Amino acid sequence: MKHLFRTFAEETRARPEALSRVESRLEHVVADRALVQSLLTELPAAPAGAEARIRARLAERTGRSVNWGLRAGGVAVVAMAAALLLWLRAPVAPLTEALRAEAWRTEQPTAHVSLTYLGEGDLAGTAMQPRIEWRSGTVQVEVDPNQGVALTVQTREARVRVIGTGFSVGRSALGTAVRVSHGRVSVDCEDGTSVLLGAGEHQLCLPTSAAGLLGRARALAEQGAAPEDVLAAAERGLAAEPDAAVRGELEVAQMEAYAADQRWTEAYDLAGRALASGGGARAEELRHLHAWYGVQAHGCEAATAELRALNAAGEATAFEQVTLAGCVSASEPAVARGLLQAALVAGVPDAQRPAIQQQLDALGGQ
Amino acid sequence: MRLIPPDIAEVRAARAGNSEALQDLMARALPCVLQWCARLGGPRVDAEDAAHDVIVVVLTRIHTLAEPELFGPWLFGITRRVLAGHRRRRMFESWIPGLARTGPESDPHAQAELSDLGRQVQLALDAVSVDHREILVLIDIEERTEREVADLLSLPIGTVRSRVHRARQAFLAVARRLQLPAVVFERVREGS
Repeated sequence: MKHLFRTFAEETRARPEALSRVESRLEHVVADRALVQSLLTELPAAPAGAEARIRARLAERTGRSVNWGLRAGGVAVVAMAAALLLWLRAPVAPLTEALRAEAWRTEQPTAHVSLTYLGEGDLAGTAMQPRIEWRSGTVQVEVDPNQGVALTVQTREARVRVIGTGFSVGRSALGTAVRVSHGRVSVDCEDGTSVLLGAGEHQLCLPTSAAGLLGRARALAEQGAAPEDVLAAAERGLAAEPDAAVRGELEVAQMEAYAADQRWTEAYDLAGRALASGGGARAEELRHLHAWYGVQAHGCEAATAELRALNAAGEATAFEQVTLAGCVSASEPAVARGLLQAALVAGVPDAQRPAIQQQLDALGGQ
Repeated sequence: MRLIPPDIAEVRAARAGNSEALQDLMARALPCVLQWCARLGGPRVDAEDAAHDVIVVVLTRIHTLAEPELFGPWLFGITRRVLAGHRRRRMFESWIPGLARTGPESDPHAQAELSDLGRQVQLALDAVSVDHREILVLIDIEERTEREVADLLSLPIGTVRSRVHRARQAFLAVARRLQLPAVVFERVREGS
């Protein structure tokens, strides 16, 4: 096998002339970008003192909105905290902070913890035992070693515990990804997996609910992941006993993954089964998919009836009309002509009009 | 030409909007992207078109890259999405008679450089599933380590190992089905 692949590797190596062709095409993109940047630098700077004025106004508003009850409550909390501090003779500052940032933000909520984040969550616990409830996005954490700080990050899929290290936790529809830059971290995933990660290691905790796995399947499909991975997520979701609505969506994700992998027969069969059981909220869309998969899997024979039905109901798209025309052009040229004309009226991309017109001419139409 | 390991400081600077760093990064990434497009795109995709589109996405989306250390997997993900789009477009065009690009002529520059053997390997690779194709290209053609590939594909290393075996089996099955010339097939059997 090595010889084959070596030959192919050598012949598909990026050659200087190919690189220079792509580079020259990219030149205008880079130039446009530089132009936009230079125009942006022409924007006037904020007037002097503007930031200070805004801060002062915000401080004024904040001051007005605090009522006496809250102030009394605040005093009581502070007094209790002070009493606790004295009692424990150790720093136990309660932490309550909403972490929300639409651009990367860095802060140091306690003397030994530094957070850099993009996304949202909540910080709670104490200075020595901070607890982060992380909902979406990425949080990078640095904890000073040997200071006795026991920090945890909790997401829907994972619980990460650490004493003195640096790591990041990213949560998205795909699951929760934990990546350690230095030190050691213990990760407990919701699916029961527990691992101890060292520097440079990472762990992905997958969702376990059917809805969570549907989200993962969709996110994987959206980012162009391998169809096998989308299928794995959809199949695990279907095994998690979803309700009817989530089941329907998981089946659609499954058939789209089959189609992306050109496994047309499986996509066609699955769409057929889903339609036979009613199709749920996606019934109409499923008829179109069933017809499309049918053409790809078995040709006209499998799809003509469905395409005719869609066309009779006035629901066929221009592409479906063109496809049906191709299927019936030999046996029913007049019908094919009508379908191609209807497709032209319904609207097809300009680039495709000449080819359709050519087909019409071949059929003897106008 | 194996991209990566990226210069993290350069990625950070590019993400922060430093044009010079961004251009250096692109110049370093382009050869690797072009090779991925030529090897993963198959005979119907114009590798240069696809590589151009990948770099445009990188230029416009670099500020959203969360972790500079993950530049490689991020770039591979973009390449994968762009290639999926190009392959879909080719498939869609094949619906309309007269519009379909006919086989290997879609990228004349690349095709001119492929020997008969290279073209047959390309066809066989095109016939296996996307995930098997990625594994074969990254491990058997680009000779990356399993660890590197696991990082690029964001998969556990165990999954990569089991996929390598299945990918090679799938490739051999396709080679038989496509009836590659006996000499080629014998070489496959000897090598595997």
